[in-house]
Amino acid sequence: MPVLGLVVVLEDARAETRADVAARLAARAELSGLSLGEAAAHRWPAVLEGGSAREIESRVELLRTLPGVAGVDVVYADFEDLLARPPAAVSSELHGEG
Amino acid sequence: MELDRRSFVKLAAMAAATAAANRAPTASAATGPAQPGVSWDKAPCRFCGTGCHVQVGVKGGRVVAVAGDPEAEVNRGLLCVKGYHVGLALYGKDRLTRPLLKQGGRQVPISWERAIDVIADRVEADPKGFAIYGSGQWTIPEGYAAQKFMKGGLANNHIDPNARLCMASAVTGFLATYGVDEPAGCYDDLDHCDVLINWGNNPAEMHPVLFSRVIDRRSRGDEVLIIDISTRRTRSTAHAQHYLEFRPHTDLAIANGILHQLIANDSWNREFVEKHCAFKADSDPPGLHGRSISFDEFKQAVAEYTPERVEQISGVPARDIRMLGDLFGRRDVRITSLWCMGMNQHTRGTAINTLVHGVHLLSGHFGRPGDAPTSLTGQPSACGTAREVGTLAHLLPGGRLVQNAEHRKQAEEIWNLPEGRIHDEMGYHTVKMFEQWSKPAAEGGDISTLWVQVTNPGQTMPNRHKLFDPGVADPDKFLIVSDVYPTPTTAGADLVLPSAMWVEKNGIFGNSERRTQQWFKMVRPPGEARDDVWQTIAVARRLHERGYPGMKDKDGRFLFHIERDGGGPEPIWDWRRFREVNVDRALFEEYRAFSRLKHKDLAPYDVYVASRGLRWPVVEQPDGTWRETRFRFSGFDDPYVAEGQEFDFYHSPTKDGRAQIWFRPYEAPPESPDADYPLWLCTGRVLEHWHTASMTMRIPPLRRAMPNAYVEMHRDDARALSISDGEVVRVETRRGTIDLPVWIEGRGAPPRGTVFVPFFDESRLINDLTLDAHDPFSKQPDFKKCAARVRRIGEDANA
Ligand code: SF4
Repeated sequence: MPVLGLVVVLEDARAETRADVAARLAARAELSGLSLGEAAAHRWPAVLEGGSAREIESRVELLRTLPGVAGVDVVYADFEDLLARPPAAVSSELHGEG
Repeated sequence: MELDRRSFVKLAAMAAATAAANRAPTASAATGPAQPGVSWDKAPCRFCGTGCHVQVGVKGGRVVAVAGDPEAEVNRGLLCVKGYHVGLALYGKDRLTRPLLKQGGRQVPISWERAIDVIADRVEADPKGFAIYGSGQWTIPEGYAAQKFMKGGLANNHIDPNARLCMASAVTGFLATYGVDEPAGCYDDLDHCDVLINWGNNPAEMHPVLFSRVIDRRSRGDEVLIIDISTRRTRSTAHAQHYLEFRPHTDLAIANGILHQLIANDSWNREFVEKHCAFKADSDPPGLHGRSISFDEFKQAVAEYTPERVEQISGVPARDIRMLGDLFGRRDVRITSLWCMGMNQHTRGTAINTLVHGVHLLSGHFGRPGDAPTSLTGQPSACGTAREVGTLAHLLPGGRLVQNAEHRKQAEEIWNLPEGRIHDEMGYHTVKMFEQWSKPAAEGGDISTLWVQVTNPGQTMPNRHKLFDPGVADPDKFLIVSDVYPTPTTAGADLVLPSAMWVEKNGIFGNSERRTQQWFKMVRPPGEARDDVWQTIAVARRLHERGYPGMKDKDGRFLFHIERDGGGPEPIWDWRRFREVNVDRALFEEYRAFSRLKHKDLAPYDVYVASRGLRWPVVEQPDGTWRETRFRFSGFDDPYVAEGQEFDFYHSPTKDGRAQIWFRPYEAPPESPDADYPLWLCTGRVLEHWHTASMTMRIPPLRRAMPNAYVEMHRDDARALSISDGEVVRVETRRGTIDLPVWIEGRGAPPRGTVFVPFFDESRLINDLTLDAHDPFSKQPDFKKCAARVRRIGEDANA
């Protein structure tokens, strides 16, 4: 399952915005796999992991639409776990509907 | 405590994110994130023309991780949803791994030896009827080798890239305005503009990393006014302060309206125009360079485009035309215009391109950082390979023309060919090439063999039933396709050649801002897949072995002669040897000689090895370093502008240092909605898929996010036809029919009277329906508008 490195771009660089977004993140159980780094003004580095590929995708989408968030840029993706699996399993992950 | 692999990965992910958030390269920038057993190297993203750089993590011979490259100016560590999945594009289960020859109606595996023989046989049987259809995804050396093989070897100019379908009108727009192709500005303009105007494009989905650069500025507190001029609401619209919705094809009226306002308000930049510009209008008979006119004639010509008249034509309120005119009339703001397929895929594509350049020139919003008219490309090397290498049917490398005797002589000298080898007639442009291939020989269809490399015309050719299917069905015609995955094009092929892709081979791309980017191969291609450039050289060598005269230079050496260390020819046609030699370096160094002929100077190959790309002209400095150019024609940056001059359009079509401001009238489109087909049909792309999705459909998260095509429809149009959201309906034009689910208020929102269908889905080929009418100068077809109807399945069209 990929581990993603993200930059969460906030709508502005105010401390209040950061606090609001942090509170919203804490309230969303779906985003419990998100670890936040140290914010640089309006940009907040983060790592997202856990769950299936589908869950990761919907979490990124959820993050993107959170009030106070202007956008989410993905800067890093590791998919070695996926490629390390037996060919049949990789094949079903890459091509199956699951 | 020893960290497990996952912990390392998380640390690496956070380090990359922190570096990108701080916009500061870290110690890991040059070497990639620290991860045990993973080696990192740089490469441009395989997908769009933005040209983001990625760091590619390789372990055990496979790409296992991808990170944005914080050292790359283009993307500063960021990637879009396609970019961070790019590594997975290599690992679809159905990669093509063996050459396949159609025998008895089936494609059966054959050896490479046999495949190369089959192609050589086809060339020898009909060298004039042999054509290559290539791509803006060709690397520069791949396009250069194909170009040299055809024009220098076979003396045959029937080679054209798919870039004809996506940016040919931008080329003719630049040529008609400045006398030389490609944008004067660059992405730095996005960091300096006060106003960003999107002319019929949707960068939030199509060039997301560029767009996020502007959104990031806003988050930092910069005021950036975004104006979206479009025929349909998109994700970009959501970020715009002004959305100007125009009737399809009427963007020419809007641009003329701005020109009119600048003159009516006397707010045009008289000083800039008098020093640096001249005026043009269409000639009779029409020609790319038209006829010169006076300012008074120009003023008279645009006089009819009052805001009220433009509102009548376009539907854009007169007050918005005034707003645009007022903005362009201001000297205290900097304005960047961006466009892509909306303006290019247009039967008046050259005209609207020249008009938007004209708006910037007349207002003087040109040549300062932030003041720029800039076209974007969809493919990663549409600029580098299609335009700069000149793989279009009328060009030679370095902006040379096949019809110009002096230019042919220059190419013959660089290629060491006998004088007169290069043919003086233009080859067939894409639509003509496919017409001639699809037409039976008895009816004059003189293209007998078509070799398609790195593209998928079976899905992208407009009016497919006319331009693609008949050639496939004709037993006398032969289709060769080099690709990495099965596509609708390989399905019709007589011979399929499995290709290496992206970091399985060396490569060089040229992105939308004139940036040339190099990478090295990092992993082996699967099975028997081989580099496209090898395929071309191997065929050339086979012909050479058979004594084909064109495959020798004037000294009797092989056309692709590379001197080996210690003397004698390097046998690069031998696959094992090819993998050991850096053929890209040799081809690029030869090609560089062309680049100086039109002030598009390239640096030596090794300079690109050490950089994240450089924007041409790249000129050597007295201290031996190489300096790129960000703002062409501007005295403060362009080394070719004479000392002391503020601007110099040194390739001016009028040869007097002036850029041309064109008057081009609005004219009705070739097909409009009527009683039988009452809707406009627009086609385009989506964020998740790259063009025909032959790669992105093999990436599960992208496929899941956007699994199939749909028809976007306005709620009122759907209601009038009793159609509900999600219902599968029949979409029809005079050329074809497909069934698609309806999406109301979905990703994009077309206005009443318009439907939109993306073209990525190979199971629902929208190009069965599109129009093959094309621009008279660029020959680029209009995929953005034709007349269509939608009906419920089972209901009679005439009911
Ligand atoms: S914006 Fe284009 S070049 Fe950049 S990561 Fe996305 S697809 Fe790749």
